[in-house]
Amino acid sequence: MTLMPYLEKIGFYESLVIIALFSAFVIIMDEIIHARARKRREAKGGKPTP
Amino acid sequence: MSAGTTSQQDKAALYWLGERLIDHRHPISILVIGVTALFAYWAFQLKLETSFGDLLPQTHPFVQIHNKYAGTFGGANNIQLMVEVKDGTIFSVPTLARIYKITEAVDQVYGVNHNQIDSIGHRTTRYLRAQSGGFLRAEPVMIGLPKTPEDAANIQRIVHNTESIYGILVSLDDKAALVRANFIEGRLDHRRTFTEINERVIAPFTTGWFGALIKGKDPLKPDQPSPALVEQVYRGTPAFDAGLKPQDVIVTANGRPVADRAALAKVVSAVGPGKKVTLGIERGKDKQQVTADITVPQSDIEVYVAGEPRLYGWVYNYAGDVFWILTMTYCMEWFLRWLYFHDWRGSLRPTLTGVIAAFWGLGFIHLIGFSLDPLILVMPFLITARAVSHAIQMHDRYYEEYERHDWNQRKAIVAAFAELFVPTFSGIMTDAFGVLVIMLVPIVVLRKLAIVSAWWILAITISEMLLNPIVYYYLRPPDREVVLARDRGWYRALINRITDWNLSPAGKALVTIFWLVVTVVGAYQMRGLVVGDPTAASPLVFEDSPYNISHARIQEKFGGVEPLIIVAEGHDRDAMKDPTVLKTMERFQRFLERDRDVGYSFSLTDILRTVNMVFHELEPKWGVVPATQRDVGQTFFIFFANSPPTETAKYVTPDYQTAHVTFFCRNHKGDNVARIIERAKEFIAAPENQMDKATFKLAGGLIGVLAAANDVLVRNDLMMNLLGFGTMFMICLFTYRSAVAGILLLLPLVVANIMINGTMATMGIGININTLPLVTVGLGFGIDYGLYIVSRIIEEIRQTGDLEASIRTALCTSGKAVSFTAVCMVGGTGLWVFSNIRFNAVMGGLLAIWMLVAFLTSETLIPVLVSWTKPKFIMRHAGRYKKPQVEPAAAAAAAS
Repeated sequence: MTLMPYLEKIGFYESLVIIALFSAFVIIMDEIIHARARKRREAKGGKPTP
Repeated sequence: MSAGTTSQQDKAALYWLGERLIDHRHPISILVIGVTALFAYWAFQLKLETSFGDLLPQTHPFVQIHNKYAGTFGGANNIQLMVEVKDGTIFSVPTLARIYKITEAVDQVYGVNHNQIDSIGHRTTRYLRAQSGGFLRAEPVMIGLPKTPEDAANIQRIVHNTESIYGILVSLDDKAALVRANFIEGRLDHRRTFTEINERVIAPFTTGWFGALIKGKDPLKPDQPSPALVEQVYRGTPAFDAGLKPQDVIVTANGRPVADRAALAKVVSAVGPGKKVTLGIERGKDKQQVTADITVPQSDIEVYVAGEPRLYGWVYNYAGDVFWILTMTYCMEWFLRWLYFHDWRGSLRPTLTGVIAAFWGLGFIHLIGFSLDPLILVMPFLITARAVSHAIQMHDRYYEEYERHDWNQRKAIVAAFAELFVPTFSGIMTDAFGVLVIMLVPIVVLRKLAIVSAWWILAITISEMLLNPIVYYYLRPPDREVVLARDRGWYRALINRITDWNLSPAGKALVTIFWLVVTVVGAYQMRGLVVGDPTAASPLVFEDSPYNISHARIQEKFGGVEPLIIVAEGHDRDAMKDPTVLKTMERFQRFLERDRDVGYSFSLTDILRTVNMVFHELEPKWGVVPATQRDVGQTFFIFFANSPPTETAKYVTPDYQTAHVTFFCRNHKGDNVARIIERAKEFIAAPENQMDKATFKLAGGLIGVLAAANDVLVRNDLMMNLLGFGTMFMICLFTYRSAVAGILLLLPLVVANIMINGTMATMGIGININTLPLVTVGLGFGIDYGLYIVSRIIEEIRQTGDLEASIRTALCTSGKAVSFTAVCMVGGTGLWVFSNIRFNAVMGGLLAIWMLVAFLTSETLIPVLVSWTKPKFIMRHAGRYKKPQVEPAAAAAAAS
C-alpha cells in the first residue's frame, strides 16, 4: 500500500496519459515479440504467416 | 461445433447481415464515429453532483410536508459543528471569541440559511433578560466579542440559566459548544461547502490559530478584499509573545503574500505545531514594515463537523479515487487480455466496445440533464465491464472461426457475428430491461438511473454488434500461431481438467450439494437484511474516517443531533396560541423522548415555559404552559417582541398558525427510524391527543425524509426483484421458446442473489437509496454466462447428437471465454475495494463477488442440471446436422 499516496494523486489528465502510454507499450511490445517469433520461424524454414 | 455451412442454414439472415455490415463498413463507421463524437462532447461536460430533491420520493406525504416547511422550520440538510476545548471550559475569553467568530464564519458559508443557525454566538439565540422596572427583554446571548473574564462569566451564567441552550447548544460539562446551521436545499454545493468550512471555519481557529483574532470578510461586502487585520491579541499566546498588536495587518507568512484570514491560516496550518512562521506585518497609519516570528502552538480546541452536507463533502473529496481506479483497472485488463489472446488486438477490441458504449452512456446522462453522483461511480465500471465481457466472447469466437474457416478472415468475422448474435443480444436485452424495473420506485434519481443504465447497456448493441464485424475487417488478422496458442496453454488445460471433474458423477453430486448449501446458508443470513442504514455510523465512509469520528463525538456530547421535524399544522391563524394544542405538543415531546434513540426535543412550549418562569421570578412551579390563550399570547409577545419575523419563523409561522416539534435523534439506523415513526404515529392516533385547532403532520428533517425513502424501498424492493427476474424469464422464454430454459438460466442468478443478500446482511449493508440501484443493476448481470454456454450446447448437439460431449465442448470453448470474462468483470469492479469511500469499496467488492458467484453457478450448476434434466429445448436439436467433427485443438495438433 505504499503506492497509494502516489495513486491518489492521479487526476483525469494523468489517467488519460498513463492509459495511452500503457496501450502503446503493450502494442509495441506485442509487435516486437511477434516479429521476432516470425523471424525465428522463417529462419527454421517455416512459412511466413498470412 | 458450428461448421459454417450447417449453421448457416438456420442463421442465414444473420450471416447475410454480417456480410452487409462489412460491405457498407465505411458509411456505417463514419456514422457511428460521428454520433460517438457528439456523445463524447456531451460526456466531457458531465458534472459530479448530487441533487438532494432527486433522492427523495417526492410523492410520499412525509416528503411533501418536508418540502412545504423546510424553508421555515429547517430541512434535512443541517450541519452540526462542535467546538470542544481540550482543557478547562469553553467559558474563557479566547474560546468564546472563537465560537463567536466560527458562528460568523458558518453564517457566511455558501447556501446557509441565515435565519436557521443555532449557536450561542448567533443573534437568533436569545435569552430572557429581566431589567430594572420589571421589563423583560429577549436578547442575544452574545451581542459581540467578549473582552474580559467578567464577560465570559456572564455568558456562562446566562447559558446555565437558559433551558433551551444548556445541554442543547452547550454541553452539560461546559467543554463543548454546538453550532447548528441549516442549508437552503436549492443552493447546496457540497464541494464548495466542504472547502469553505475547512478553509474559513475550521483552519483559522484550530491549526491556523496562534493567539490573535484576525478579522474575517465583511458579510455585507463579501467580494471586497479583507486583509488579515489583527482584531485582538490574547495574553499568554504566541501572538502576544511575538509582539503582535491590534490593527496590525499581516501581509506575508514565511515570505508568501496572504490576502486574508483564510490564506494566512492555510500557511500556518501547513507549517504545523512547534515550528516557526515569520509574519510580515504593516503597522500603524504609515504602514511601518515589521516582522514577527511565531511558534505555531498545538491547537487548544478541536472542531468536529457532522451532518449530511458535510458527509457528502467528504464523499466528493474522495471521489478523485475514480481516476486511479480507472487507470489501474484499464492497465490490468489490457495486460490480462493480451496474455489471454497473445495479441494486442485482443486488448484493443473490447476497449473500443467499452469506450464507445461509455461515451454514449455518459453523453446521454448529460443530455437528459442528469449528473453523476459520486456514490454511483461503480455503476459505469460495472456496465463497461459488461460491454468488455461481450467483446471478449466475440473476440474468442472470432479466433475459433478464423481457424475453422481455414484462415479466411471475412468468413470468420461473419460466422462469429452470426453465431454469437442470439446470446449476445439476449444478454444485452435482459440486462437492459432488468435494469428498467428500477423505474417502479417513485424516486427521481432512481428513475433517471434506470433510464441511463438501460440506454448505456443498449448502446453495447452498437459498439459490440453493429461495429464489431467492421472493426475486425479493418484490423489485420492475427497470426495463425497466436490463434493456435490459445488452445495449447495451461489455461485451456486447467479448464479441461475442471470440466472433466465437473461432469464426473462425483463432481455433479458435489456441485449440486455445494450450491444447495450456499443457497440455504444465504437464505438464512438474509433474515438480517435491513432497509435503511444498519449502523449508527454513516455507511458511506469508513468507521475511522474523520466524518464518522466527528459524528460519534458530537452524538456523545449532545445526545442526538439528527432532526425529526413533526409539524403541528393549525387549522386557523393563532392556533399555536391555544393551550390545548401547546400542551399536546408538550405531551408529544415527553412521550417520544422516552425512546432510547431520541436524545432530546424542542418546541414552542420550551420557550413558553422558560419565559413564564422568568416572568414569575424564576419560580420552577411557573415553568408550565400558561392556562389561557390570552396568557400564551402575552408570553409570546414578551419573547418575540424584539425579534424580526425572519428570526421567529423558525419556531412558529408569523400568523401563529403552524409550529413544529423537533426531536433530535441519536442515529438514523433503519430499524430505529421505523420504530420512532411508529411511536409518533401511535401518539398522533390516540383519541386523547386529538386537537380541535391543529393536526400533527409527519415528517421533515433528516429522519423524516429517510423514513419516507425507507418506506418506499420496503414497498418496492420485493416487487422490483420479482419483476426483474420476470423480465429476464420472458426474454429467455422468447429466446429459447421454453419455460424450462428460463428457469435453468435464472437459477444461477437466484443463487447469486440470495448469497449477495445474505452477505449484505452479514456485512451490515442495508437496502437504501444508494445500494438499491447497484444491487438491481447487478441482478441480471451474469445471465449472459449461462446464455453463452447454453447456446453453445445447442450448437454442438445439433452436430454431435451427444449431450455429454456437447456440454463438455461448450464448457471448454464458450465456458473458457466465460471464465476469462468473469475474471475481467471481477477485476473491473473489484479494485473499488481500495476506494476511500466505504460505500463504493463495499459495493465494488460485493458486485465483484456477485459476478464471481454468477459465473461459478453458470459454469458448474447449469451444465450439471442440463446433464441431469436433459431439457427438451436442447434435446430437440440433437443431431439435426450430424456429421463427423474434429476438435480444433486436436486438428491443430494433427496439423503441426
